[in-house]
This record gives sequence, C-alpha cells and structure tokens, in this order.
Amino acid sequence: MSEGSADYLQTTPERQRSAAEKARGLRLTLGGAPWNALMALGIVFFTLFAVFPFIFMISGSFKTLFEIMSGFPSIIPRFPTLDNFRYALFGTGLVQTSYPLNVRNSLAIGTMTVAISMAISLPAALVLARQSFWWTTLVSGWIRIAQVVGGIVVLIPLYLILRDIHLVNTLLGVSLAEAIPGSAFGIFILSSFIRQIPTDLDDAAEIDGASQFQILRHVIIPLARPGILSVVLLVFLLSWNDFLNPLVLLQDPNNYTITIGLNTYFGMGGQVEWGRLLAVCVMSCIPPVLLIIFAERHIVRGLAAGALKE
Amino acid sequence: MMRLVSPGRHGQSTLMLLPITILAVGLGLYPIGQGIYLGFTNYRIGGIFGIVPLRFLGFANFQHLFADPDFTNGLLLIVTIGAIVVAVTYVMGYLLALLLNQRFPLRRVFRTLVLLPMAIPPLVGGYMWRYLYDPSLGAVHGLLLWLHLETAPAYLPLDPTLGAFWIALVGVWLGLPFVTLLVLAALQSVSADLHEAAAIDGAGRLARFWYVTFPATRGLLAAIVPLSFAGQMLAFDAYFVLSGSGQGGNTAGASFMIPTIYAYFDLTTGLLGRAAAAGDIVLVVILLAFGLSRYISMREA
Repeated sequence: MSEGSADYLQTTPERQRSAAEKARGLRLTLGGAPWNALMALGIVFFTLFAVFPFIFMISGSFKTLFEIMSGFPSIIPRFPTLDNFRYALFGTGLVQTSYPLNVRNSLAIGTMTVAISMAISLPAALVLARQSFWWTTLVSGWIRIAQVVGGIVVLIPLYLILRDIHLVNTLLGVSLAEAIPGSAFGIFILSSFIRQIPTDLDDAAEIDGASQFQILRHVIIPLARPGILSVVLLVFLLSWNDFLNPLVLLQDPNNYTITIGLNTYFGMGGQVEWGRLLAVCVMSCIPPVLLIIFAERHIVRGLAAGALKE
Repeated sequence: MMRLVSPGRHGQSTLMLLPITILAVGLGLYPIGQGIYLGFTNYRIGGIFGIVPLRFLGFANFQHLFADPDFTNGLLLIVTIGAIVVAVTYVMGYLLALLLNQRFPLRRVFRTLVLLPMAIPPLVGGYMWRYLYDPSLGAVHGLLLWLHLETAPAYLPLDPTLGAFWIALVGVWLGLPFVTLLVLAALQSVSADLHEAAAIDGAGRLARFWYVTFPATRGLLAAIVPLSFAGQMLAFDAYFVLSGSGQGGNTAGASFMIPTIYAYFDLTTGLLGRAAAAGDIVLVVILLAFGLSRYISMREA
C-alpha cells in the first residue's frame, strides 16, 4: 500500500505522458457518445440474433408436450420437466432410446475421420508448403475444387464406389466420405501454418541426414502443433455436424449418427414430439458449443490461416 | 535462397503426396466425372422396375427436370435464397466484424456468442428455426401475430411473397459467423500505421474506413462471394428440415424442392440418373457464378 502511494507521488515523464493519453482517450470517448451508443446497440442486436433460437430451443426442451402445444411459447417454462432428457437418454419402459448409441457412432466416425484426414494431410501439407512442381500444382488444384464441389453432386457415385468396396453401411465408409473435405481442408490450413516455420530448420535436419518423414515427425509436427490442434477440432466438428453422408450411406439403425437419429424424431408420421426433439438438439449442441467456448482461439486461428492464404 | 536437395527427397515427396492423390482421384475427381456422366443416363436401382440396363439418354433427364415445375421453382428459389444470403451475410458480416474489431467490455464473450451458430450441426439449426416458424406453436410466427403483421396461422417459409426471405434468414443465421470471422481476419491484417497516417492527415472514422480499411479488405471479400454462393447451391441440411419434408411429412404438409432436396428424393426412390442430372445443373450454376464473378473482377481491374 505504502509503496503504491509513494509511487503515486512520483511524477515521471512516462506518468505524465500516460495521463495525457488517458485524457485524450477520455475526450475521444465523450465526443463519440452517439457513436458508442450505436455500437452497443449493434452488438446487442447481433448477439440477440445469434442467441434467441438457442434460447427457445433450450426452453422448449424443458417443457411438456402439453405446454409446447398450448400456443405462444414463454421463455421460462411454466411446468419445467426433465422428462424429455430422461426419455432421450434412457428411453421408457417400452421404448428403447437410440441416443446413446447415436452418440457412440458419431464419436467413432469423428475419431476415424480426424485420424484419416490428419494422416493424409500432414505429409501432403509439408510437400505443398516447401516445394512446387507439377504434382503440387495438381493437389492444390484439387483443394480448390473440393472447397466448392461436394454434397449431392458427388454423393451418388461415391455411394456406388463405397458399395463396390463393401463400405456402404459402415462407420468407416462415412469417415472416408467425410475425410474428402476433411483432408482438403487440413492440407489447406496446415500448409499455411508450415509455411511460417523457417526452412532453415528443415535444411539443418536434412544436412544431418534426416528423411522427409523424419523432418515431418521431429521438426514440423512439434512446431505446427497449434495448427494441428485447429485442424483436429475443425475436422471433428465437420464430422459431428455432418448429415448428408450418413443419411445416404447408412441404413442399419445400429450405425446411425446423432444427426440421423434426430431426423427419425422428426416425422414418424403425424405429430412432431417437439420436447423430445429439442432435448436431443440441445444435447447434440453441447460438444460443438463447448469447443467454441474453450477452444475458440484455435478454431478461429485455423479458419483465419486458411482464409488469409488467398 | 538455395535449398539443398538430397537424392532421396523427390521420391519421398512423391510418397507423401500419394495418399491425397489416391483420395482425390478415387473418391473425388472420379465421382465428379461419373456423376456428370450419370446425369445423361437412365441409371436406377431398386424400385418397382428392378434392374434396368444402363442406357445413354442424352438430355432426356434435363428435359424432364426443366419440364417439372417443382424443379424449376426450386431452382429459382435456391438462386434467390443464395443471392439474398450472400448479399446479407456480406453486409452484416462486415458490420459485425467492424464492431468486434473495436475495444469494448466483455468483447470476448460477445464474440463467442455471435459465433455459436457456426459450431452446431446445420441440421439442428434447421430444427431450431422450424420450431420458431411453426404456424401453431412458433415464437416468430406468434410474434408476427401479436404485432398484427400476420392474421392467420401460416408457415412462413411457404409464404407466397416473402417465403424466400424467411428461408434465407436461416441461411444468414448459419452463415454469418464464418463471413464475420473472415472479415475480422482481413481487418486485423490491415496495418495500424496506415490508419494512424490517415488520422494524422485529418481523416475521420468514415473516411478512414472508405479509403484505408475497405480497399485493403476488398480482395478477400470478392473471393468469398462465389464461394458462399456455391455453398448455398449445395446446402441441404437446414433447408431439408424447413421444407418440412422429413420422413412422413408434417404439420405444414407442403414443401419446397430446391435441387439438392429434389435430388435426394430421386436418390431415395432409386432414380439415380435423374438425381445426378439435378446435381449437374447445380454444378453448372456454380460454374456460372464463378465465371460471372471472375468477369466482374476482371472488368474492374
């Protein structure tokens, strides 16, 4: 305390300058009052726009079907219930729930998609970042195509190919399909990260007789770790969120993912069980939302690295 | 700078490019090529016809598609939606990125909140909005009724005049975070020195934006436009839910058929040739969009 007050009494040139800066900052803020109000209004508007569908989803998941059906929804449930979640997680005496199985399948597919995409894109990204010859041109050309073309345009032949190699209706087949955009994305982001690593390091390792694979393992991977983490998270999200590939490639309900499980809640003839559907929606959002809250830096950095390469 | 090339290096590089090449050719380029070809055939599996020998049809599938009002209306609808989504996410994304680039309290929290829609499955986004739009129990529709902007229960995405807008709003909600992030990354790459120099020269906020920030970010943004338009042409998940064509139909009882949904239904009934033809048309629209954007940027240059 005493130190602080003694410090306060001292007047150094730095202190004066910082005081002057503060005053200038203050004047700027005051002069910009309408501007600041407008900014605050804008932030509130955009936040509400992004968040209000989540709010109604969450509130609906805690409501009874009767309350949901009784007209204009209140945000706070009048008769809050956990039945929807209980049903999704444990089923009822008569009806078995598929949700835990769906989660297991989604996790398995996500893990395999990440593994395949990384195994394919790490070595390719190193070559693309360090060299340039006809083959690297072709690969980067493919990455450009893969960014734009996908989904329904390739799904039919992809289905036929996977059928011929007996991978339709398997989790691995879905992973392979998802690894196509996954690895294109991985190479795109990783090569821009690897370009930032000085080539001196690879050169030194090469003089010492290291092979390209050893350079990848001992030089590049340790240094590109933040980029690798970004790609792992983004490819996992891509897989967890995927709907069209599993929809077309999986027929056995035992292999259904969370998104396919959701699709079976909707419809089933007649009335939509909104409470149960929304409860499963809420739970399906938990992993991605946790990722964006706790790993936002990595996700944003990965996307930005990919974009700024343009 | 000279780089040392050890003798085995080229062979190793080749080996490192092999996996992506196999994947790109086998599960990427070959399917694209075959998909284009199948659009000109009668290829079908299952269904009441059993196995029919594969025959080249020429443009018969395309003639059939363009004679079907479900398809042409859907094509027109998705192009409209795509144009709205691209224009609105572009403008809103720019505004939001400018806001997030300022310093204000709790900036990190707000940034995370506005990014949320990007992380969740688009399918779930579709359900959220399907719930909000529901004619009898939805909040958005209820709000419009309460404000007397609507009089009778109706499913907003099927509104004869504003339907495309209500569908596009969902696309905007899902797509806004990504565009915002790209703009934010571009803004952060604009050098602070330029801003300072402009400020010293007496440029105000708006002038600095117009003469410094905007020109520096324009290149990246021009690249986003055809990409996000292509994304809209191929979008399926959320629009599939909104079209109400989940299994067994549902409350609204009607649906719109954008080409991806049309192709999906052909796929489920085994009409693979016609589904592929719908895919071909989507591909042509995407190529046209890229061609147009290149033409415009070349004329401006």
